Amino acid sequence: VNIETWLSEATGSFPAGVQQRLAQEYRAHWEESGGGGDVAALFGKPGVVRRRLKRLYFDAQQFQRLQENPNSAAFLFVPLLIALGLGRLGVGLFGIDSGFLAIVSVVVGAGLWLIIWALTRPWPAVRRDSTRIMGHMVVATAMQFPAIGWGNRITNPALGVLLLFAIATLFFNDAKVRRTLALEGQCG
Amino acid sequence: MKPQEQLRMLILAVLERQPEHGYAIAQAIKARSEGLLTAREGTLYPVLHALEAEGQIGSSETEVSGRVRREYRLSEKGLGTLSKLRGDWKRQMTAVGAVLGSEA
Repeated sequence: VNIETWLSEATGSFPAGVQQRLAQEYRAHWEESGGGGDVAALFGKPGVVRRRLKRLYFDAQQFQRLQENPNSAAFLFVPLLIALGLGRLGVGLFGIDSGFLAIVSVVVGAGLWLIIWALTRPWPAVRRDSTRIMGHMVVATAMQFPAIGWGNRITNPALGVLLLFAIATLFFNDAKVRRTLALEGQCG
Repeated sequence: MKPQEQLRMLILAVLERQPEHGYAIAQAIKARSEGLLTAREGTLYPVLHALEAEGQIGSSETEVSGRVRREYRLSEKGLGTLSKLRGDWKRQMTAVGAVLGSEA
């Protein structure tokens, strides 16, 4: 495998700025090592390196999708959350569930939603909107806690795991957005 | 400690002495371990980029003999992390040594 083929397989699927930085570093490394022989023997399989890099950066397709009017995707979740809140209130009003817990559920959801939207407001569009999309999942999960009741031994741990997973995904996704934006020359 | 975490620790330890570029980091790890520790050098850069994004290391481009190279240096945060990792590693080695016993 020559250096161009290796670089194309390992880094070719990433956005231009990410590709440029990686190609520059791998090429310099290869030249320092003498610049000959099988590149895969020096760097390993390009597919393995690509998988490692995918944990750090979005590929070009994913990044393009994020840039193409991501705000509409962020807003898509708002009616769903409103429907969820109204549903909770309805359940409370018809006496199927505690009316008080239904109100707490809506207040928790609305409060979290406002915090996320206010915190992300000054961020660059791609970062702001991708965080808001993930944030809505956190809000939807958090809203279930008061409605289900604090003492439920079966659903509460499962919901807790789901909430932690949603929060971890939100932070992991945001770090990936910031890293990609930094190499694309956009302030993250 | 997982191999990936070991590589992070080794990179930070190499950069503690002086700023280095990627190839020199790989060579330093090989040389200091007398060839015992060799990572596929392609996986070095994802780790370097992750460390940089976390603020453990910084980087800047320098030109040497007409070639542009990216040099990495340890940050204050990285120094603190290295100190913690060293402590963890020593405790692990002491525990394993106590179980294995001494041949001498």
